[in-house]
Amino acid sequence: MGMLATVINALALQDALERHGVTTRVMSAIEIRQIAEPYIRRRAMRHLEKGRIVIFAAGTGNPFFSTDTAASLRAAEIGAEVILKATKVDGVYDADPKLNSSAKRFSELSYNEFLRQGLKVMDATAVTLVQGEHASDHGLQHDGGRQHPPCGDRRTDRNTGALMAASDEVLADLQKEMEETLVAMRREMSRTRTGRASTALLEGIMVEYYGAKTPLNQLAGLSAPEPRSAADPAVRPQRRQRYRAGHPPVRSRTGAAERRQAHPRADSRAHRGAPA
Amino acid sequence: MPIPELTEERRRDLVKHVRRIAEEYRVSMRNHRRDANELLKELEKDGDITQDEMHRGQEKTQELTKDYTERLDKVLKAKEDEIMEV
Repeated sequence: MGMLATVINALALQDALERHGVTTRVMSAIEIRQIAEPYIRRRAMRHLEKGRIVIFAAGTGNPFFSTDTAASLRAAEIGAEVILKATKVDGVYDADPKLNSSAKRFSELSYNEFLRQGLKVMDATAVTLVQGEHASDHGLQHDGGRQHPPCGDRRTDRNTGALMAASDEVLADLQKEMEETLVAMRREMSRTRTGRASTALLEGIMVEYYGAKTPLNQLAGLSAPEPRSAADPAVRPQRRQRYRAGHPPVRSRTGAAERRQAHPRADSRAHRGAPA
Repeated sequence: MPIPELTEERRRDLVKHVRRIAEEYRVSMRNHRRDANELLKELEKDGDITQDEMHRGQEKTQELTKDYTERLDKVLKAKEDEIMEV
């Protein structure tokens, strides 16, 4: 009965595809002549050469073999490059994600690894079959678990190696834009000072040093040791040394404060009345 | 170099200021959602995706927008608390 059900599904799939103007052929492993062609490998190849989509129905035609095995068998027969399995789970996990929330998704998995871990997404018969065919241990890649449109623009999702539908592409771009917006908003929020001392307050302040205007943060280490006092004690000893060495000093402490206020980026409000 | 405390009035002004900024970003997020929805509609019109997919996509854009707006609100709330904290 399961095999017959796949014939019904194949016809539904055929109908859906043909509605989009794609020529298809259903080939059944058990003979149902009025509805589907019998499966003959060479004929299947011929259809493919002509650019038709071939839907293989009725599994392998034998009971006790899963449709995964059928897919692997047919793929090997026609020399397919890739098998995509569409399921309701979005990838291959080390445990059933429906039952175990800590299940980990694989981004790549070799056939041997698959068999060794006894994963249940596909049965071992199927995996063994493709492994024999694909001596180069190519590895399983999972389909993103998405429902693909029967036609349309697709691109490969780098993360899952799966084909991506056009609508997923739009959503992925949207998510990226949202993330960027949030980051930009965070950045702008941090620019709004809150009366808390921060070295950012002193950014962009130019001081005369050896006769040249130098950004303050380049000639002294700045830090905010506690929230209510900015700048850094380390600035002072350094400065004093330079005064003593007879180099043109910062004109005066108040002078420095004035320059600070004059600078457009410095938050002058925070400095107003601050003893410099 | 001590930094003086902000006055209560100044704090309120700052809160207003950050709220205004947050609102701008909220609008920006909504604009992104609108753009995405329009793109989906276009794809549907051109037959690149089915109607179902378009609707599903629009539900998803709504979800994304809600999620990110909530995250934005959280950032805003943290900033407000930081400003009002004495």
